[in-house]
Amino acid sequence: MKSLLWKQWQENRGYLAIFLAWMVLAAIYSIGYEVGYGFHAPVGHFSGLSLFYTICAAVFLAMRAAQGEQSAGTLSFSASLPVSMRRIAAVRIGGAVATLAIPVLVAAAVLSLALASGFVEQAGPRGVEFLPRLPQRETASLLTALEQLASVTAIAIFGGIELLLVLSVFGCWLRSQAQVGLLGAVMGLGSMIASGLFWYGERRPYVQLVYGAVLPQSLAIQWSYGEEHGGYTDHELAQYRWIALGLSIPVLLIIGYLFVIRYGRLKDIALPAKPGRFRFSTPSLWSHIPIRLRGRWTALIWLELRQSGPLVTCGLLFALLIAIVSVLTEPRGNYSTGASVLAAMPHTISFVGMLWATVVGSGLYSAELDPRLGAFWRSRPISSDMWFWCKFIVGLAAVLIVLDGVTILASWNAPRDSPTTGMSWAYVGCFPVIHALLYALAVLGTCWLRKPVIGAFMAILGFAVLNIAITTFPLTDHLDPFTVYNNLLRDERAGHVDLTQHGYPLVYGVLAVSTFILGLVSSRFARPLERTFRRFTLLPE
Amino acid sequence: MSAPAIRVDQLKKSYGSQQVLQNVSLNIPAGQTFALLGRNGAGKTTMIRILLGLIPADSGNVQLGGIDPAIDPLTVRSHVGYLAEDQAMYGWMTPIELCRFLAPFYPTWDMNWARDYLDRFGIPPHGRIGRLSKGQSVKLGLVVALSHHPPIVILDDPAMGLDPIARKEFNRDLVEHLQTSGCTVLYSSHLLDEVEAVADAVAILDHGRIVRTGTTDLLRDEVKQILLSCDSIAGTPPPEGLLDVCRHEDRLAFIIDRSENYVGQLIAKGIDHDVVDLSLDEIFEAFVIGRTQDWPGKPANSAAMSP
Repeated sequence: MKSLLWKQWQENRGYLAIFLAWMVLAAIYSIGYEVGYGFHAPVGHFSGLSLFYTICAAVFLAMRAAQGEQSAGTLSFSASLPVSMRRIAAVRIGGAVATLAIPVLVAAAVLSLALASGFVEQAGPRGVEFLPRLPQRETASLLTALEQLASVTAIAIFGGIELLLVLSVFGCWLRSQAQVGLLGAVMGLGSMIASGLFWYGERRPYVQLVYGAVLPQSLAIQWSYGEEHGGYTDHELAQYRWIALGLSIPVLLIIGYLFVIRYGRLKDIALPAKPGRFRFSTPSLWSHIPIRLRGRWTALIWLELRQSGPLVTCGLLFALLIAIVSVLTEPRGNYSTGASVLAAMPHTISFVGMLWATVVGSGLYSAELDPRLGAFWRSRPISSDMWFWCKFIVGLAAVLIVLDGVTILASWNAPRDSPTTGMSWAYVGCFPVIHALLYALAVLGTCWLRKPVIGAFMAILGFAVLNIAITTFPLTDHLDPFTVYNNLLRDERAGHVDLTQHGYPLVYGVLAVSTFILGLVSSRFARPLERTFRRFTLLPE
Repeated sequence: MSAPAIRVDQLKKSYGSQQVLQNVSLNIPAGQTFALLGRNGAGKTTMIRILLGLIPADSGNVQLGGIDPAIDPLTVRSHVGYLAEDQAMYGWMTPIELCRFLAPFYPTWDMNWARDYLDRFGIPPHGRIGRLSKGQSVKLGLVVALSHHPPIVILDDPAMGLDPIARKEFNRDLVEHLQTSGCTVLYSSHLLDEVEAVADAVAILDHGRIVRTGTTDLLRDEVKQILLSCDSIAGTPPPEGLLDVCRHEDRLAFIIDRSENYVGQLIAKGIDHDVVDLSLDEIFEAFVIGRTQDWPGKPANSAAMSP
């Protein structure tokens, strides 16, 4: 057992260090932002950052817990050890849980010190009737502030652990880390949507208690507000949150046990599919259409469309599903369900598009950067630049046309009665550029690191860090791309459409140019049979 | 003699401090099937990647059909059919879609030929590539490597990972094609039994150096195992070209390159000996893992004959 724990420690310590740095920086950012702007909202800020962290960490750690040994080819070695696979599974998942939770606890400790020392203050808990906006609310007592912090910390950890465990269980059935990562992205976003289910309309504490035992993230909700200078995240907590968290412990233990059982049988799953064993695949309809591809460009565009088309279509359907769920769970005006869904689509696609642009960017490049497919591909008479740019442009066009273009066309005439409903020129001017930037960041991450999921993570993280860097300073806060969008939207809803205002040409011009530069840099790294990082690529013999 | 189809001259390549290829030189005449033999890590794949212009060499010259792949890699690749070890193709495509996709990249692509070979190899044209067996995948790789009638074919351990029967089947199909095509083939492998059936000539690559090259018949003629008693040659210096020595009590079995001269000396000295023909596998083994430490030293009280 000691050997297993030592091995797990060796495997996880690097990630633990990275995650610790991540969350400690998040705590410092929460404190710094509070010091700079004085909204009395460090706990809400920290809660939002913890939620983001736990989703990312859960997905990443689940990939490793469920598929790490299969990817590394060490599963059969582990299975041959004189220790049960269930024990190995228990250590793997235990290590993952600790790696996820410790950074949040340490970061919460840092923030609690800041609260205890009076360096920052937290406003009193938000009531159901939230008329007094947070800056006008009274400061909470230290004990109340610490209880609020403990609550959001526990909720974030329990929610993250649940996502980690569920993903790990499903991950045992999947075939690669990338598939677990994609499922994790979908489930992470889905859990964010699902956690808001009972926060609209009249509060139902007992329903929240039961629901919170199954989905701990639902015990807290973030309400974000933008002020003239800066913005803040107010948090609201379920009344019986601690009871719900207590009830969620057996739920987590059961899911953890399921993982241990499932992983214990993984040796059989890892075997190649035998004839007669069911494997789903769609019929090869395209194959029967005798298309004649004239010219290299046509062939390449056909290839990239065949690859990116299904991916972006899945993203659009996913966004549509979220829009439908949000319409059915949130009270809307007197519109038909169809009209409400179309009205909700722009807001939904704005953030689903950010996630999906990274999925498409990393998914398109990852397979062909693998040495096995790379060997096939690179031996063809086509230049690397032609291959790269065709893929880059077709993938980008697919993201912009299918996700943004379809949404713009479909939602243009939908009701526009709130900041989060209906289409706008502000959306047309801003979000396609943001989606393009995230796509390019994911391409860069994937080409550089040769790991699609880490590449996509890096893209999202890079964009988040960029926003944090901009909003940290009051001087640059107005240049935050989302602030620019919000300002343009506010003007537009007031009857003024002018995309030359609020720093739009500068901010979005820089983002557009950055997209191209990121593509250029990525093309230097996208050499399937050449090394980028020594660590990430294999030497040929 | 016509100009070589593949010419490699003083090729060097390093990865950091690790020298992968050291002054490698080769000439492969047009129409020859040439086997590049080497253990895993000997430098075969690196050399092939340089031949295709996929990675640059540190120094040296390479030409395929008179074209330098470092200068014009795309032209080289359009004239070369390449099948890599453990090569993957798009699993979501079907074989016929793959052929349609590749056709525009090769002006000489022959769709009828491709269909014909898909049929002959028993590859379902409309089945997903990801669902093909390992053997079918390798054969599909061969189909797409040959469908543009390349004058030069490079096969990098193509049958690696196949079971012995599938390997034999693959080689049978390969020989069948090569006999009719007349193209130049560079066949890299570490599995000698599969090379022996197809190769006209071989080069043995060990630790980044070519340690022996020649036609397969020449190698078999020149590299022999000699069996004799230890006492008959005790104390004599090891002969030139000694590759491997094995002692069995008072008997000595050793493998020697360019054996004719040494056998002549044994005959001249009247030393009783047996000469054993070797398979290519045994010759390769002697070159790459042969040990000569067991060569008998001078006995304390004997007057051995010296050849």
